Amino acid sequence: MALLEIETLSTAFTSRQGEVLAVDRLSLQVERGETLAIVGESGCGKSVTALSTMRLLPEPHGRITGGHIRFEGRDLAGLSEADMRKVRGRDIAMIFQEPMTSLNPALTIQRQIGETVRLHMKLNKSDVRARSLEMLELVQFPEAERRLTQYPHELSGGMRQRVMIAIALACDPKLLIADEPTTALDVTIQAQILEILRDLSARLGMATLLITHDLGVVAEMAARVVVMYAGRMVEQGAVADVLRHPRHPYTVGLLAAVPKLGSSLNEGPRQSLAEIPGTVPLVRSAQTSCAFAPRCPLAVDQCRRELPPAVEVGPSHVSACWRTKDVPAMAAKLREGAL
Amino acid sequence: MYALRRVLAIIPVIVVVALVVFSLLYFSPGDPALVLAGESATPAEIERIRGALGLDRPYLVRLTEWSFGVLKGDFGQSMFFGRSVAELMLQRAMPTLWLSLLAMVFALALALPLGIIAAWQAGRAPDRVAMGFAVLGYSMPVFVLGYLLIFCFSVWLGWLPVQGYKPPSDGLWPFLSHLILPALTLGVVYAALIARITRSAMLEVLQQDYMRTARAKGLGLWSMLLGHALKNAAIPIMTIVGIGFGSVISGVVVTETVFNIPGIGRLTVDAILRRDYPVIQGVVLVLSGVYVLINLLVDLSYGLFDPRVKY
Repeated sequence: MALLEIETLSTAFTSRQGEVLAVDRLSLQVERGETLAIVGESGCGKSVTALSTMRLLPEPHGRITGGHIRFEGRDLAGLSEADMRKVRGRDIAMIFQEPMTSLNPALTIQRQIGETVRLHMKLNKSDVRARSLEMLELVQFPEAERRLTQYPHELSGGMRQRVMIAIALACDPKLLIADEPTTALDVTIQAQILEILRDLSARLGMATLLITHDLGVVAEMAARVVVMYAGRMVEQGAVADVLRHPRHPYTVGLLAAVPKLGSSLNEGPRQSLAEIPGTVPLVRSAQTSCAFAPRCPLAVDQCRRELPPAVEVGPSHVSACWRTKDVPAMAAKLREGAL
Repeated sequence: MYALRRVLAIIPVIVVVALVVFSLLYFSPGDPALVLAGESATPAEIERIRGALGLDRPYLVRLTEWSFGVLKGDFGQSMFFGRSVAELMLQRAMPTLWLSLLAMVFALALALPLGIIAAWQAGRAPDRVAMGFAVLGYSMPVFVLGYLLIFCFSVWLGWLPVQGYKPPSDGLWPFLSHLILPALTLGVVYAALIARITRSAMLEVLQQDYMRTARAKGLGLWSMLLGHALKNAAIPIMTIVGIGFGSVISGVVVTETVFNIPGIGRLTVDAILRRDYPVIQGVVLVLSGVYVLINLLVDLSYGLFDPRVKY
């Protein structure tokens, strides 16, 4: 049994423009100790998937409308708020995108790390302090002892994200959900934070669900990847397979849009960056056709009429596309700049 | 350094208040000598009283004299009681102090829970009810509420005395029982003001990212509201506690009259009715000083709640 099994999860939001379906019958598994990345554009539903798993949706506007989220066999989607509180912070922990605003500005670092420990591990005061200090040292926090009594505004962005990681890992969670943990940080700090995350998840044997839009981060961190588009899984598989041999036109487009370092230094006229034309559509109800069809160079009538099922295209490599057989040829043409 | 600067900044405020208070009364119509002399007095008698009280001397002379007196703690002599204003105020200070203190306690005890619950339940029934009470409390005149409470709890239910004041030395219950209704009357307006600000400040804090972090830790509702949110909402709340204290000061005048409490408020009303200028000047100056002082304390308290505030 996988640690986390999300099965046909649907999450809807009520907005001023009416009902919006942010996640549409999404299924994925995270095995114990594994790092799974969810990748996709802004608005594809990857963060909402994370918030649904933690049951942190901004109710009543956002709510789970269908499916199951099984954690160690228990369905979190049906759990009471009181039971869910015991899961949050102890079994599943989460770190967020914005380290600048995710820490409470009025409370000391020690208090913010310590309260999780006190809540879930029932330690006494001196043990709480010792554990807080241990966590700061684990995330390679310089001068940890002195900084316990400091406040978030006295720390840099990278240091704050370390504190967030220390809070998240304080109770030895079985699953860490990291929602764009490095997006708001400088590139060099990004590398440090990713290094800490990778090192700790390996050492603590913790599974990680990594939400990102950065394929570089996916390649660095994850063993498997789920590509999401408009609330649905479009491709899934081992990172090496998906990034080297993508079998969905959307994944191909994402890969082509990654700028190559030094590419503009080549001789000849400066090339423009590849992009996927158009924007992510707003999904209002369960999809009945391929949502990517309007932006897809391979789209045919069938794509606009029927929802493509997820089909196996390799060993544990899945793609939801009617024309998945033609994707390698399309990718090759794109590389030659013919498309 | 900041604290010192703030304390020094009080001086010009008090000077201006003193100047305005003195001048306003000097130039306002009405003659204390007329009131003192009575209806049947002859012009010669009135003139004699004027001379005795020094009312016939020029504005600048009187202002200078009064100002130097105030600096030495001498607010002059009451024209009516024949005693020093400072003595009168000291004698009346305790009832007012107890009354406003208890009113403040009631106001906070009422306003903070109401505001917090309203913010947490924003847009739902508890929010509507709490804010309905706030609007009602804010718009009801103090004397109406006072008589309403007297009717309810004293006349009808007979639980509490109707009027009067007993010092703490007469025993705790006599002291408190006489103070509960006036303090409640005075506290309600103040509470309404604080509750509304508490709600809006908490509402803003609850939407912050760090509140989501707090939820992600598995914290319960009360740890989130009281442990994480309230401290961040404290600055606007403290600010309105300071500014709103003005409504307590003006409320004291009416409340003490309604409940017949021999405090500063009653002294003010009596002094105004008798045109007892030195008393009015002294009371207004002292109350302004109290108001400014309270707001100074509020400003200095910011550092307790927000570690980013440095002095």
